[in-house]
Amino acid sequence: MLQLVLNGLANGVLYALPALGISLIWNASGQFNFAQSDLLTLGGYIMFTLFGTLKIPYVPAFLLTVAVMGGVGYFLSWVYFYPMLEARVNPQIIMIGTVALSVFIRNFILVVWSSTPQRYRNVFGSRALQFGELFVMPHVLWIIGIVAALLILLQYFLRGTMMGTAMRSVAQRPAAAWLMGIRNNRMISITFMMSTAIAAVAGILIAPINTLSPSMGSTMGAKVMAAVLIGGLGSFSGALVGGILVGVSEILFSAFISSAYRDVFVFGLLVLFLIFRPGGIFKADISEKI
Amino acid sequence: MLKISDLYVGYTSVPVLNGISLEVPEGKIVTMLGANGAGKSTTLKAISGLMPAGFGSIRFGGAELAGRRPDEIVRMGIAHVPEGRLVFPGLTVSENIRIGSYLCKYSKAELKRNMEHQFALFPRLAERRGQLAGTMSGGEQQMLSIARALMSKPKLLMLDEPSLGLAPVIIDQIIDKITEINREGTTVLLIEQNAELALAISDWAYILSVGSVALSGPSSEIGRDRSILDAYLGG
Repeated sequence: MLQLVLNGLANGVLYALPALGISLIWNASGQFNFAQSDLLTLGGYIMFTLFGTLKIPYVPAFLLTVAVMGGVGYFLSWVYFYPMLEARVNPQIIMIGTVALSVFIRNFILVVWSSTPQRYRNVFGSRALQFGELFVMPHVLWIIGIVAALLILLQYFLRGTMMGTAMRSVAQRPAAAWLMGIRNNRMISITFMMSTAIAAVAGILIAPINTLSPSMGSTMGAKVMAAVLIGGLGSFSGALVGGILVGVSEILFSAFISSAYRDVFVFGLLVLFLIFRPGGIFKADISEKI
Repeated sequence: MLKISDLYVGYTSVPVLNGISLEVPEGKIVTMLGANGAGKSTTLKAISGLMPAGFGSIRFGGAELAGRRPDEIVRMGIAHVPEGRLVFPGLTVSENIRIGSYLCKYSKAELKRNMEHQFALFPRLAERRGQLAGTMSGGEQQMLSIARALMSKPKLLMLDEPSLGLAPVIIDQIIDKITEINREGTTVLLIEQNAELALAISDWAYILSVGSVALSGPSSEIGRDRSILDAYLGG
C-alpha cells in the first residue's frame, strides 16, 4: 500500500510540473496553454537524442535539454503569444491556437523522431531498493527529490528575488507593474521560458519509465489538465496537490479496482470537482496568484 | 522641468486630449483640475508612457518623452502614482515598496536605507511591513502607492487623485505628506477632485475642460473666483 502511494507520488509530482507551468503562464498572461504537455514530450525527445543517441553524460544532457527547452519557450512567447497579446486578440482564440501549437509539436516530433516508441537508459538503476518490507525503485525517490528541489528553488525565485517579485507583480497588476518600470512582455517571455523548462524536466524524468511516443503529450496532457483544474487554476500549491492527488488516486484505483478504467476514474473525479468545486481545491485568490 | 506642448492623445480615433499645453517648473506643486473625462488622467498616462502620444511633444529636462517606453521614463526620474492606487494586493507592504526600486540597482544597504526612509515618512506602513497590501484600508494603500513611487527617487512625482474615496482625516494626512515630499525637493504634478485642497497646497493650477486647458494661473488667483471654478468643475 505504502509502496503504491510512493509510486503514485512520483507520477503525481510529474503531473504537477507541467501543471505548474500552466498555472504560471495563466497568472502571467491570462492564457491557458494546451501545448504544455507536448512541450514536455519534446523535452523527453531532445534528451533522448542528447543522452540516448549522442551519448552525452546524463547531467550535462539534462541541463542542456532544460536550457534548449527554455529557449523554445522564450521563442514561442515571442513568435506566438506576445504578438497575439499585443494585438489584443480574443483570449479564446489564443487558447485555441495553443491546441494548434500542440498538434504542430506532436507532428514535428513525428517527422523528426518517427512514430516508433523510444526510450533511454534509466540512469537511476533498475534494481529496487529495499526498506524493510518496502521495495522502491530508485528513480521514484530521485524524481520526488528532484521535483521537491525544483519547487523550493522556484519558491525562492518568486519570493526572494527582485525578478521573482516583479513577475508576481506583473501577474497581479500589469498596469502598475509598467509604472515600476517592469517590462511586462519581457516578464511574460521569462515566464514562458521557465514553464517550458519545468515541463522539460518532467519529460526527461518520465521518458525512461514510460516509453516516449509523439502522442505521449496527449495522454499525459489530459491528466495534467485534470491536475490543474482539481488543484485550482493559477494556484501554485494547487498544481502540486492536484498532481499528487491525480497520480496517487490513479495508481490506487488501478491496483484495487481496475487498471483498465483508471482514466475513467481520473476524469470522473475531475467532473465531480467541476460540478461541486469548480474553482478547484485551492481557489486561486489574488494573494495566492504565484 | 516638464513642458507639454500641443499634445493630442486618443483612444482609437476619438481624441481625449485636444492639444494640451502645460508646464511644471522644478520644485513646485502644480495641480490639474477638471470634471470627469476632461483628460487629466490621460495626460498623466501620456507622460508616463502608458498611452501613446498622438501628436505634440512632452519634454522633460530637455529630453523628449513621447514615444518612449514606461521603463525608460521611470529611469529618467518620473514616478506615477496611478488612480485607484493599484498596489500589488498579493505582495506584502515591504515587497510593494521594494519593487518600486526595480530599475534602481541599489546595494543592499542603499535599498534598506531608502526603504526605512519611506517607513519614516509613513509610520503606518512600518507597522504593517509583513501584511499583504490587498488587506489594507484605502488610506494605507494610498500611502503605500506613494511610498512605492518614491523608491525610484523621482524628480517628478505625479499623483492621480490621491484623496479619492478616503475619509477627511486621512485626506489631510496624505495632503500633508505631499507637501512634505515637495519640501524635500521633489516636484509634484497633482490631479485632484477636491479643488479647494489642491489649490491650497499648489503653486500653479491648470483647469482642463474636454481635452484642453481652459484656464491656468497661480493657484491663489484661481481659487479666488469660485464661480469660474464651479463652472468648469461642475460645482
